[in-house]
Amino acid sequence: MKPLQDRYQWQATRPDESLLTTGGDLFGTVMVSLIPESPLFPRHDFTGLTFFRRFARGFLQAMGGGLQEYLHCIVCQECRIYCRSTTGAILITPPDYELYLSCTPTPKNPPSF
Amino acid sequence: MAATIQIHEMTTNADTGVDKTSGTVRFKAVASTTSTTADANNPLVVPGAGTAYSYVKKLRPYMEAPPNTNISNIRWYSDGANGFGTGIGVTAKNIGTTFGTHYDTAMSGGSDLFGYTSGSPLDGDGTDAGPFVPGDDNTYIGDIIELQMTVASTASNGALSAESLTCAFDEI
Repeated sequence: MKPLQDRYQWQATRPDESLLTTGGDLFGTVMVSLIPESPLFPRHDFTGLTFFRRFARGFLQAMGGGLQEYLHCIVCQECRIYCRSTTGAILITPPDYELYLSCTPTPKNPPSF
Repeated sequence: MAATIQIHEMTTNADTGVDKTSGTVRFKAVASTTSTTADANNPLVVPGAGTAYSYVKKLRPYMEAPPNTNISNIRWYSDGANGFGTGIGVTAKNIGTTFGTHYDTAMSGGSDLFGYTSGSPLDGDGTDAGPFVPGDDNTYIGDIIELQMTVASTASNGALSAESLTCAFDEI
């Protein structure tokens, strides 16, 4: 399976149907898609919103455990959309909501050598 | 391709460390210059009275593979609940990019790690400020976070369950 941060690709569609696949600025786009690498994960297409920008947010378990979650975030005038790369689940929040997740520790008791 | 960010346990200076992304960071009674290994050697000893201090651990993100555009907004936080048990705590602070020394005396100016939560995280790029671009590939990014475990005489002997420390970053 692909690394967590590569399980979803994003693209935005402009009114002339051309595609935007780099950067963070979504102004003027009419549809934003989150496309899974695996068919086991859901694809998401968002329309009818005023898109502002996008970014991804990684969560590393910093005392051992590595990348635990990688969120794709789409910032709109109406809301903010977060997509979990681990499950494909979507969370809709208010436009200015900053979502931070807590990583759970991997079991290490008794200590591993 | 998205970036690959690692967490390194720093050893001799602000640009030298050991990849701990999938490993364990263990507080010990020796400095990280001597051992970064997660083994049972050099354990912290519960003092008969007062408080014992571990050698500090210094953590810093490392850009192993570059982002398409940039990395920014590095934040560190715990789950807000100290699961280490009675008499055991962890103090944390951002020391910027000045490495300093490894020491096992009480940290000055630090705060309770478990006071840093997802709603109130520790800023991880106040000094070495982002955004960090593809040209920063294979370098350390952001500030060094210094941690120290404290063990009071009221603590119990034995191995501890792991606790969580999350490093979050934004990527474009």
